[in-house]
Amino acid sequence: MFVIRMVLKEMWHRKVNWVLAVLAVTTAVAFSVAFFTAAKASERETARLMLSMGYNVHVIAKDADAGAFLLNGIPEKTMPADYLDKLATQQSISYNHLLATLEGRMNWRGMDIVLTGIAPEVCPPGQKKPPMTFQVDPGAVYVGYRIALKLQVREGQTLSLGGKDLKVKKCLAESGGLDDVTMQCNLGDAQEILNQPGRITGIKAVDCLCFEKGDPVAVLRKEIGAILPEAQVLQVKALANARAKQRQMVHGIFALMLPFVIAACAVWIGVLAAMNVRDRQQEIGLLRALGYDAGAICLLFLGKALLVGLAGAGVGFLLGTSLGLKYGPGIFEITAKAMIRWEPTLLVFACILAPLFATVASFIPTMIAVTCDPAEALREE
Amino acid sequence: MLQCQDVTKTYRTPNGEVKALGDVSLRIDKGQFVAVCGPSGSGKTTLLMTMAAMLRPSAGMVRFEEEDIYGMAGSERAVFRAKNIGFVFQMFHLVPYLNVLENVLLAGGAVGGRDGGRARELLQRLGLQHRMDHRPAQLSTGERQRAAMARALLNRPKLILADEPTGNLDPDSAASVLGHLRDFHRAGGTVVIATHGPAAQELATRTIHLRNGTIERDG
Repeated sequence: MFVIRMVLKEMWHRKVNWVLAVLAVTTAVAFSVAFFTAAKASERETARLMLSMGYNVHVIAKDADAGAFLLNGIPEKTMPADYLDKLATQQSISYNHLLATLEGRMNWRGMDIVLTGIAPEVCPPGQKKPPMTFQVDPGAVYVGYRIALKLQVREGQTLSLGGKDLKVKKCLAESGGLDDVTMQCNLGDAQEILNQPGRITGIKAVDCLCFEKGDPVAVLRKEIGAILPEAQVLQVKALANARAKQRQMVHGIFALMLPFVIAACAVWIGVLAAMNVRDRQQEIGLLRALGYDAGAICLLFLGKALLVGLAGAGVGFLLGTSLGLKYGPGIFEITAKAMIRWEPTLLVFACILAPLFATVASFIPTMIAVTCDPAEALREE
Repeated sequence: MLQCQDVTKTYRTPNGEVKALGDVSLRIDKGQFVAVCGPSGSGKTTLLMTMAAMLRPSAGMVRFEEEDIYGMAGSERAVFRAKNIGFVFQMFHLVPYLNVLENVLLAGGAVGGRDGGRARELLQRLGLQHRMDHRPAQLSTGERQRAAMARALLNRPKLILADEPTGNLDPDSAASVLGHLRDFHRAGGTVVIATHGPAAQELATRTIHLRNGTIERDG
């Protein structure tokens, strides 16, 4: 108890040293908390932004001509719609955001258009994510920019397609792609209009192989081939690579910076502890002369380091979380609300790791104190 | 009580080895008041540190009540020192962030007993009863040395080693500190004091003169 009282009294006596040491731990903890929160938000934000580039995996019927699909953008063969269920019920797989579609060309009011039927997007078990695309209710249709412009289609109108009436939910903005000449409706409606009940032309997906080594297409083909032998897998490489590289870069930046900040703070604490030991040479010498053993001297310095760590953990956590909450929403506009929040688990980690960190950083100076020669220390004036 | 036999202490310095003590042999009996005199650098402090079980000699043996103190393990020697030997330093060496009472009680830590009553009684005897809650920085130099004396006396040591305890004090304070050492001696304690001053030598029952790390004169 007496030694603990000494620790507290010494900290009060040498306030500047104590405050600087707490500041070092606070910096390390605040950076760690802010980095951890920001890294999670940043990775999620990047993932979401990259998702907006579109689906990068296409599963089409095995007998469909892949060359023709790449040329026209529409598979010419269909496959059973329950293929989606087979993919969507698998555990531990490397794809997500499954979207079944039925696409077909048709002429409507003298214009060649694409009709796309869309099923609600589904996620495999344990990979629930917000959908990437909008969901189309039965009886509704989304009209591409060029179609609406040329045929004077307006929102709220009822159109007849292949004998089925659909209400225009929205006229889409110009995309500069195939979507401008596409009408998108519910999968069931498209199956009825195109006379393809229970059939789809493809399943779109996004791979989850950004951090995997090796060839992602081979992994996907092996996985999906085992589930759907009657299908073939194509990957839009440029899209997949861009997405993977962007996510890897963001991950890499945080992985590099955090250890650097922590190492700098460890050195800072170590230097302060060494200065504290140097300032207290005579006191340590006196304690050794009075018969105090190495354990008591260790307790004197490591006890202080533990208290510094605990104080730094609390202050650092509050600071890091406050910084994240204040500046996070401005940086991560899409995901900040979901990703940046008060994380009690981080406080628990901080309260365990920061004292440990401060103790380890103070270890060498403490060993110097323990091995102090009392005669030498007490002779110095 | 205390016996030094052919004690040699050599320090290694960047300029080579320096012999601080060379083959010093002496015996201090219980109840003696010994003054160790000599010019600066003659080896007085080294001799006291060696006697205090704080500085292992390069050669030779130090026995306290027939026990080889440097034959003990470090932790055992530390407890032995705390129980048997009180040390008074020229520079007082009070812990700056503890008050006077806590500084005195510090001496009891290693032997597992912090007798607050005895500490207060000692402080009263040394005229510091009104200074117990003060920090060392709030005391005069004489008061600081008296607080250090109280610390040295807390564990009822058999031997007090005092390294120029009056070196930094004004004449009145020096006399007061020497008076307390004399009281300890009169109560049956043994005192070894390293000193330049004539006052301490007058109190001593024996004076040892050191020069260049060897005993020049003993008597």
